[in-house]
Amino acid sequence: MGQVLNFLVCAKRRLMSLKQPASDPAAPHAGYLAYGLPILSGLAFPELRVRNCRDAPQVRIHTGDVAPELEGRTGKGALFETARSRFLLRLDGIARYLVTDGDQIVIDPAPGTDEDSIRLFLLGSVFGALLHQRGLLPLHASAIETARGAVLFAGASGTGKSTLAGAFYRRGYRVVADEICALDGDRVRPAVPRLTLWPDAVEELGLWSDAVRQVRPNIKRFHVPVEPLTAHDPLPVHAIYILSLTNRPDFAVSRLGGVETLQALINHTFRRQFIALESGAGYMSRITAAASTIPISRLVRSPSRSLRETADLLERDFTR
Amino acid sequence: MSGIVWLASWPKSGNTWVRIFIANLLGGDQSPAEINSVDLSRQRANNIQMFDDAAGVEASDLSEEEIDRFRPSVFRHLAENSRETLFFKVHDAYTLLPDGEPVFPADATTGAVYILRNPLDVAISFAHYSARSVDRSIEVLASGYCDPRKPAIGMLTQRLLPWSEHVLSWCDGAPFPVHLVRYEDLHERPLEAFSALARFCGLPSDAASVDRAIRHSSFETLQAQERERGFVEKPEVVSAFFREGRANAWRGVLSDSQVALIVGRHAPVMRRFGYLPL
Repeated sequence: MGQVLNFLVCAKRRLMSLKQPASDPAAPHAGYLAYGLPILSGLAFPELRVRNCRDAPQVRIHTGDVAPELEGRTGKGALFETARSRFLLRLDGIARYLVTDGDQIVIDPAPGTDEDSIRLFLLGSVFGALLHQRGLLPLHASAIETARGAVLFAGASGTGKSTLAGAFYRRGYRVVADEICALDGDRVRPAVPRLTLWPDAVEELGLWSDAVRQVRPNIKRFHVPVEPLTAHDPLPVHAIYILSLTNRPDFAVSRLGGVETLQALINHTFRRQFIALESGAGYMSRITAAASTIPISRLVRSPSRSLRETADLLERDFTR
Repeated sequence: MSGIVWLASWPKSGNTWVRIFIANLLGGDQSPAEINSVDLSRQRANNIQMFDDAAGVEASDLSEEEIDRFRPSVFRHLAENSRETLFFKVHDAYTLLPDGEPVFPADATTGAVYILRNPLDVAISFAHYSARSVDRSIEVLASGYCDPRKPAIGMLTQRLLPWSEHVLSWCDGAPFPVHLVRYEDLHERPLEAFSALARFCGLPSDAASVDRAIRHSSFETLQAQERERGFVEKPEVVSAFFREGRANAWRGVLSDSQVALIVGRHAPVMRRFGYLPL
């Protein structure tokens, strides 16, 4: 029932175009906090903590014209381009995003794009590029707060990172991050207080409520707001678990060593291909530093293992 | 730029066999290629991770229409950035998007190998693989199906036409060279059929290399590897991926009425490719 209601609520949301002149002095700007960064934005972010930062924002977000190509680009993918301290994401029919110097994001929405869609890619890939530009180490991972520090769950899409974080949230742990975990040395910065889940996971975790929202119109994935952490400070990382699935009956946690830890962090870096060519050396030194201080293990499991069994196994391991 | 060679087929027509043969031919090693190697499992046109990495956004944040719209750019990007020919397994039919652009763009393509198997055998193999009854499998061959996105196993949606239309979509519809190879010929005249395939793909096609790659991808070798270490592409519900690997296994398995149903639906294409008369 909650699911049906939620669809209706989402369907009724007003679609609006955001485009305003970049320099419009009347544009309302509000302050937020994510990844430890005070953000001043012309676009409202109901999912972020509000923080008054009019005086000293570290990131500014506004709308404006974004050219379809990046001048002097040194790298590219199918829908993005990179250059020294610049990043362009080009989602035809949705929006173009330009990230500059790790402190500015310009959004150029396509006509008729809704705000949910704009924010979804902004707090995902676009923020990932910004974190790379700032010299942080974003991992494709979720994270929870435990008595011994943050525990991260990294893995490819579909390996259950967010669902596991949700399972621990139900056990009373706080969620530190989902999708993108920004490592700052051997600490992780609290991200956005929410989980992004498929409907069957929301159902399994019993997390349906009026606050659960579709990530964007027509996409049946959901943002589930969670209780934020009590403090905003970066948390020391106690352990990283790499989740992988197998069609064999395996079910075990094993500690990685040596070059495996480097490889694991490289493999699970959030959008490694966003790192500008010129920043490769800095990235490798961050990887090496993290691998030398944070214990990294791998959990291999068959999808037929229940969420409870999986959470039990991990909880035993990280409380040992 | 090099290009993509699509390894296209209806499911259960020998696609994996051909991919493993190509991996062995490319490797040129003294021992058989590992069937669970990352390269083999990644080289699928509907691999979500490959899409996400190339696009820079997650397919799970996109609608089917948006994924379709971005896929040609993803394939172009992959082709532009690879020095070697890319071999991508694909079960989708060759179709056009609503704007008239093909999903599999010609400018990123070197050609396609279309692997064809007698639909009477496909019906049985597909039933085993998908844990369906043979009757249901025959219906799917007749109607086609859309295999929905499966994020948990990293697969984008696959859109299959009915068996006959699927064959024709690639063999008559694609604007680039298509090399047609029959599963049965790979069994009955392996050296000839695999050599022709290797030549089309621009791979080593001398008898010694082809012969070694054929031996390293023999059914017994693949079955032994699966028994020992499993196979990443095996669906959880079935006991083994490499099950029988035989041509013309339908005799004595399909009932007369099941044969009549398949032949009645697919006769023109079966006749054209030598599957009729029975």
